[in-house]
Amino acid sequence: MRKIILAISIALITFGSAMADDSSGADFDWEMYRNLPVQERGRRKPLDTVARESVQQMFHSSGVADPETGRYLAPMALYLTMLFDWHGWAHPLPPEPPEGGTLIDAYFQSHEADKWDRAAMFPVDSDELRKALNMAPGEICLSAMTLKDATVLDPRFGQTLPLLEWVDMLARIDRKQLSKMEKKGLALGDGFATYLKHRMGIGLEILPIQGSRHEEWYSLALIVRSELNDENDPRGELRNVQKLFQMILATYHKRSPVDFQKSSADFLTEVRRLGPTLGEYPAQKDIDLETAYNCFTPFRWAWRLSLAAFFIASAGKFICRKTFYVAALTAFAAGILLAILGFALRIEISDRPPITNMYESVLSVGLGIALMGLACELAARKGFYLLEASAATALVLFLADSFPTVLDPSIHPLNAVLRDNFLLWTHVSVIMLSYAALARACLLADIRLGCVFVSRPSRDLVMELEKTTLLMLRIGTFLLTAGTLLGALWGDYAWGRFWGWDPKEVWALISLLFVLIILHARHVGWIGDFGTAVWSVFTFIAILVTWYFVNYYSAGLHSYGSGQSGEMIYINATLTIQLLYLFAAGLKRVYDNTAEKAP
Amino acid sequence: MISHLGFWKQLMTSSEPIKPSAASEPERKTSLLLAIGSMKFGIVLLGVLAAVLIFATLLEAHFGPGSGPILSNLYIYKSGWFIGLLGVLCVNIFAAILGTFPWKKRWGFLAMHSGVLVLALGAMLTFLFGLDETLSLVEGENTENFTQADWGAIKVMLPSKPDDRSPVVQSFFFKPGPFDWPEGKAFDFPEEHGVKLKIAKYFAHARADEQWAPSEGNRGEPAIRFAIVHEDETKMVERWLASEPLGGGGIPRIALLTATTDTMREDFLSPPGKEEDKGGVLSIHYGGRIQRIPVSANVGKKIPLDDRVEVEIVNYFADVKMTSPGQFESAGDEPKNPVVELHVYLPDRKEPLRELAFAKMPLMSLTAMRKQDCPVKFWYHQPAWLPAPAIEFLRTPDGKLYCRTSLEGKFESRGEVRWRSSVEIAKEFRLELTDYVPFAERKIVPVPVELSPDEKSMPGDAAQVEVEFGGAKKTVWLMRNDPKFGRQAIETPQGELHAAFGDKSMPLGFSLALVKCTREMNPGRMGVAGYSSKIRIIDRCRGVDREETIWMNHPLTYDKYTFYQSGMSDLQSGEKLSILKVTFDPGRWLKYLGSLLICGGMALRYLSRWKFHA
Repeated sequence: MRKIILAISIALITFGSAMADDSSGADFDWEMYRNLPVQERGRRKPLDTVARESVQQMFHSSGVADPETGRYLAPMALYLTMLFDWHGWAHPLPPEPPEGGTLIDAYFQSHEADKWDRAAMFPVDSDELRKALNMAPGEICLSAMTLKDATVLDPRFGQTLPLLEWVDMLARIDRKQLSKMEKKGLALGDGFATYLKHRMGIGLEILPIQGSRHEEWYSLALIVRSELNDENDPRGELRNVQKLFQMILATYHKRSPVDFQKSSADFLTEVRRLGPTLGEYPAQKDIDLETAYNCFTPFRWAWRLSLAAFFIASAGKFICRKTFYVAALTAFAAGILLAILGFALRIEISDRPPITNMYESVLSVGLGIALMGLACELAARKGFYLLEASAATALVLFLADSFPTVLDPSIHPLNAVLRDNFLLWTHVSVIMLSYAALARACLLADIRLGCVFVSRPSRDLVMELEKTTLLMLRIGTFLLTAGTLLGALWGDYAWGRFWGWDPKEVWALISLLFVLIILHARHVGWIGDFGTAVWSVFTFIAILVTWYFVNYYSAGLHSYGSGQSGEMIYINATLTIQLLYLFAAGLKRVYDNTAEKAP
Repeated sequence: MISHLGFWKQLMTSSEPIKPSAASEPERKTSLLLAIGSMKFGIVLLGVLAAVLIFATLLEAHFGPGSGPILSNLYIYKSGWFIGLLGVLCVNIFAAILGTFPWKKRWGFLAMHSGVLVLALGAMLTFLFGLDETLSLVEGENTENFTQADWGAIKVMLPSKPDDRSPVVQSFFFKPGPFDWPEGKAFDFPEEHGVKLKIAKYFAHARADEQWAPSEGNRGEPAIRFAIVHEDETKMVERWLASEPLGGGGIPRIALLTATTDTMREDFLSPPGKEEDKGGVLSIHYGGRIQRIPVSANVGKKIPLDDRVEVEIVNYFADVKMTSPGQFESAGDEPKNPVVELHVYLPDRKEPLRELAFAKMPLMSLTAMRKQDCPVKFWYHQPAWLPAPAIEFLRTPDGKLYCRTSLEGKFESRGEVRWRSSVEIAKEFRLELTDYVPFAERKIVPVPVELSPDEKSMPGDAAQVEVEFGGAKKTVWLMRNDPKFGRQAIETPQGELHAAFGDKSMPLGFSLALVKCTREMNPGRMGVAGYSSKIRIIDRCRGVDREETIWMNHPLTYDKYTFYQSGMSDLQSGEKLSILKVTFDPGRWLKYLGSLLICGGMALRYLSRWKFHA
C-alpha cells in the first residue's frame, strides 16, 4: 500500500508542481522553497504548508495582492516576499523569545514600517469587534500598523487593553465560555501574532537543535540574528547558514533573480544537508508527498468531477442518453477515486486516520454519500441515483473545500486521548458512514417530499424513493448502532467507562431512537411513505445536532471537537430552510388530501 | 376543520397505509404478555425516552460545564424514575421476545432484542456493584487505599491521654445520595466504642456561614465581628474574626490575641521602648505582677519570682533555627527571628519546665502546647523586630477587649474597646466593632446552595452530626474535606473529641506506588502528546512485586481493579501528580456480549431481508 502511495506521489509531484499556483509572474523563483522541511505547531511539514496555513490564518484568504504593484501573490510568494522584505535581519534577537505583547516591540523596534505593515489586510469579520476596535463605518480590514496600537474594551475585564494583551487573556479562558466577539478577537489576534512571528522569522523553524530533549528546532531568526561564535557554533555550520541567508537577502534586494536563485539553492542545499546531522529530520520524500498533496488538491478535483458528473447526467436526460450516462458515471467514479486518493495521502502524511476534526469528518461523510450513491446507481442503473448522489457529493466536498476558516484543513498533532489508531479507525469511520447513510436518507426523503408539489408524481419514483430511503435508514441504523457501541467499547478500554451520558453519546442515542421509531412505526402502520420521509429529515437533524451542535455547546468528553464549529449562522439558515420546506410539504399534503376527500 | 390528531394522522400516514404484519402486531389484546410487549407501547416508550434525553441535554447546555453534567446526572440519568423508564422498556422488549415464541426464522430479531436486555443487565450490574473512583499519587508515594467519593465517612477520634500516641479513631460510613435530605430524615449509626452518632441533616451542596456564639462557663476563644466603614457610612466588608488573623502581604493585618493573664494588657498597650536592651526585654507575668527583664544582660542567670519559683534565661537566639526536634541554634546575629529559651523552676517539679518566648508570636507557649501547667507566663519584646502595619485586639481573662495599632514600626494604644467602638484605619475608612463575644465557640452553619448556571464549581456537601460520648451530647456541622470546617473539636467529660467528615477509604488489597510519571510533548513542546505512569505493585499475599506502565489507552488490570491514566498536574512543590482512575466493572462482559448480540442480530435481520430493487 505504502509503495502504491509513493508511486502515486511521484506522479503527483510532477503533476502537482505543474498545478502549483502561479507565483504571479514574480521575477523570483519561489518554487524551490516549497519542499523545505520546517517544524511548526508540533509537526514537521514543508514550508509550502506553513505558507498556506499562515496566509489563511492571517488574511482569511489563500493569497493577497501586493499593496504597491497590485499583483496577486499566492501563499508561497506572499510568505517569502514578506519575509525577505522585513528590515530587521541585522538586529540582534532579544534574549527572551518575544511572545504576546512583546512581539510588537520586538517587531517594530528593529524594523521600519513598510508597505505590508501599512496595507489593510487583516479582515475583522464581526460588527461587534469592529465596534470594540473603534473602526470607521465601512472599514472591514485593518493594517498591522493599526493593530499595533489597537485597544479593545471587553466587558468581561471591564477595561481597555492592547489587542495582543487582550488576546493573551482570552487564550487562558475555556473557548466555550468566550463570546462570539471574543472568539473573533482571538482569531484576529492570533493572525496578527502569526504575521509578526513569521515576518521576523521567529515562526519559521528550519533546523533541529542538537540534543534538544523536546525536539526543538532553530528558527530562521535565531540562526540569522544571533551572535554565533566558536562556543555556540563550534563547527561553524550555523554561521555558514547565516552567511548563505544574508546572500539571499542581498540578491533579493538587488532584484537579481538569477543570483537569487543560485543563493537560494545554496542555502536550501546546506539546510537539507545539515538537518539530519543535528537531530530527527523528516525524509524528503515525505515532505515532497505533502507538497504534492497541497498542490494537487484531490478533494477539489473530486467535487469538480462530481459536479461535472451531475451536469453530464442532467444533459443525458435530454440528449445522447447512453453516452452521457457512461460519461457521467465515469466522471463520478473518477471523483470518488480522487477523494479516496486524497484520504490515502492524508493518512500517509499524518500517519493516522483522517477522521479527527470537523473538516475530515465532512470529507468522510461526502465520500460515504458518494460510495453509497454509486452502489445504488450500479444496482438500479436508472440514472436517478447518479444525479442525486453526484449533486450531494459535490455540495458536501465543495463546502469542505471552500470554508477553511470554518472547516480547518490543517493537519495537527492528535489529542493524547485519541492516539489509538485501531479504535479511532473503527469507531469514527463507522459513525461517519452512518451519518452518510442517514444524510442520503434525508436527501431522498426531501426529494420524496418535493413530489407533493408535482401534480402527478410518478408512482414508480415515489416507491423507489421510499424503498431506498428505508434501505439507507436500515444501513444507517446498523452503522450508527455499531459505531456507538464501538465508541462505548473504546471508552471502556481507554477510560474505564462504557457509557458516560456525555452529550455526544446521548445525541447519538437520540438519533438512533429516531430511526428506531421510524422503523417500528412503519411496522405497525402508524406512518406511511410520507411519514417516513418526514421522520427521516428529523433523524438527520438529530444527526446534525450530534455531529455539529454538540461540539459547539457541550462540555463533555468529546470537547476535543470544539472550536471546529465555526459559523453557526450557515447551519442555522440551512436548518431553517429545511424546516420551512418540510412545513410547506406538509401543508400541501394536507391540502391535497382534503381536496381529494371533498365531494 | 381538522382536529390536531386528525391532522397528524393525515400528514404522516400514507394514502394507502401499510397493513401491519400479522406476526408482529397482536390480533387479540387479551393476553397481558402481548399487551406489555406491544410494539405500539414500545414506540411510545422510545418516543418518551428520546424526549427525556433531549430535555436532559438542553438542561445540561443551559447550566453550563460546571453544574450541567452533575445536574443532568442527578436529576435524570441516575434518577429512579429514569432507571424505571429504562426498566419498563426492557420489560416491553422481554415481553415482545416471549410474545413471538417460537422464534422460527426470527433469529435476528431474537439476538437484537435479547442483546438489548443483556446490555441493560450488564449496565445494571455496573450501576449497582461497580466502582469508578479516582486515585491521585505523587511521585514516590505509596498507597494501599483509594477513596470512594459516593460515600461519606465521619471519623471520630476519641479523647486520649497526653502521652497516648495512637488514639482510638472510629469511622462511620454512610452513603448520602445526591440530594439534600428532606426535613426529618436522619441516619443513626450503631454505637461503637461508646460513641453514638447520628446524621441529623445533610446538604448535598453547601457553603459555610461562620457564626460565633457565647460558650458555656467562660471557655473558648474570643471572637469579634467588625465592619470596614467608609466615611459616607457605606459598609465595605463585615465579618467575624477569631484566632486566625486577616490581611498581611501589603494589606494591614487585623488580629485578635488572647492574653493568659490580666497583666499582659500592659505589654500589649505599653510595650517597652526601643532604647532598652538590644537583646530585648522579657516580661514575666506571675502572681498578678509583671516583671520586665533585659535579656542580653541576664542570659544564663536565674531570676527569682518569689521564694520558690525561679526563671532562668538559658539562651538567646537572634535568628532561631531548629537543628533537630527540640534543639535550636541561631542562624546569625541579626535578630530576624529572635527567641529566648527559658527554664521555669517550680517547687512541685524536680526538673524545670522548658519554655520558648518568640518575639514575633508573643503569646505562643511551648508549655501550653504540651498541655503542661505553668503559672509563669512570658511576653518577649525585641526592639529590632518591627511590627507590620496592623490593628490588633487583645482579650484579657477578665473578658475585656483592648486595641492597639501599629504603623511605621510603632505601636499606638487605643485603650479598651467595646461594642460599636471605632478605630480609624485610613483617611476615609474606619473599623467598627459590630459584635464581641469574649468567650465564644464557633458554629458553622452550612447554607444549602441552589445550583444555577452561574455556578462555576460545585460546592461540597455538609452534614449535621449529633455525637454522644461519655454522657455529653453535642451537635456540630461538618463540611466534607474542608480544611477549615471539615473537622470540629467537641468537649466531653473525658476530654476533647474530634469529629471529621471525609471520603470513605477502601483498601485495595495490595500496595501501589508511583515510581515515575512522564508527560510527553509533541515536537517543539507544542502540546501534550501523552501521559504515562510507571507504578509498582506490591502484593505480599500473592508474592507479587513488579513494575508496570500505564498510559492513555493502555490501562492496567490487577486483581479485580483496572487502572487508567486520567491526567497529570504539576504541584506547587514542583512534584508531579498522576491522576489515575480505578474501576471495577462486574457487568463489563455482559455489556460486550449485549453489544455483540445487538450488532449481530441487526446484521442477520437486515441481511436476511436484503432485496435491493428485487
